Amino acid sequence: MFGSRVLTTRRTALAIAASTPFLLSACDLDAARDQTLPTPTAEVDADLVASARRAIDDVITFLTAVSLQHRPLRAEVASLLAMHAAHLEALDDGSESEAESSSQPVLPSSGLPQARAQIRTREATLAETLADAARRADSGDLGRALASMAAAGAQRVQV
Amino acid sequence: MTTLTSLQAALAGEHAALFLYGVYGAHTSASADPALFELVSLLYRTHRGRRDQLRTMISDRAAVPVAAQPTYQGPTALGSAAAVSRHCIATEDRCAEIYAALVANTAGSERAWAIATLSEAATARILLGGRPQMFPGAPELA
Repeated sequence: MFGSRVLTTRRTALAIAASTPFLLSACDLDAARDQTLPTPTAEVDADLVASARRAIDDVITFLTAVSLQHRPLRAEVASLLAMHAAHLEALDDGSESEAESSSQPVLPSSGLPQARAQIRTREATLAETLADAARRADSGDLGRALASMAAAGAQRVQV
Repeated sequence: MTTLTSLQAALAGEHAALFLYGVYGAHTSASADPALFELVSLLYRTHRGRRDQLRTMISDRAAVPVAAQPTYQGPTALGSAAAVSRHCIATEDRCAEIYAALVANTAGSERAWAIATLSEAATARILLGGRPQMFPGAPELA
């Protein structure tokens, strides 16, 4: 349906996408891209992957805290954690993950409705972060994977 | 796959989706199931808008937009609201795959549109009563 893309494994495909130069085809490029300088596309994509992983890690940290504090939310949180774990695995290029978080930790609210609202907000924000990364990815395969992850988050916000 | 080929594939997909939603709507009762009828009507209009957008994007590239086929193979068992919903979900899942492919084959504003449209197709699955997915549009990543 959509061409002859062959993916060996998802990890291999995304690792290749993040580490090799983007081969230009007949696609249109942003007019602002400077054609006189070599564009470090592999470096850009590697930074995007690292940034996406940190964003997902931050949400995982928050959800884990919610799960500890609010028993009624554990089933919902477990489902979200499984999704985020699958996304992290897809983005795993075998490099060392950075221990430093990308933002200040947000503590869950003590109130159940407020904590549920916080989950929705964090998931919606993460979905937008992943969509933005998808827009900026030089590799089409990486953009596709990140867009899919963003769409998965959008589904969870809708539930 | 070139961007133009991918855009044409998306347009072909929307032609099929529009045909199918016409069939789904014909099998949905506004009085017996107003919520589903309203949702199917909304999704029909959404797909029509995407079809028109894709036609414009292709024409802007001085190419001829692919035409709709005279007919499409549609589902035969639509005797219940549950069956209609199930088939609508299947249509949205196919559209999600098309738009995920379009993300991979576009850049700039066209990719941004494909990303947003992929999310819309994924969200429609939930509105239709479907379960969330790990990788909408890219099931091989799961």
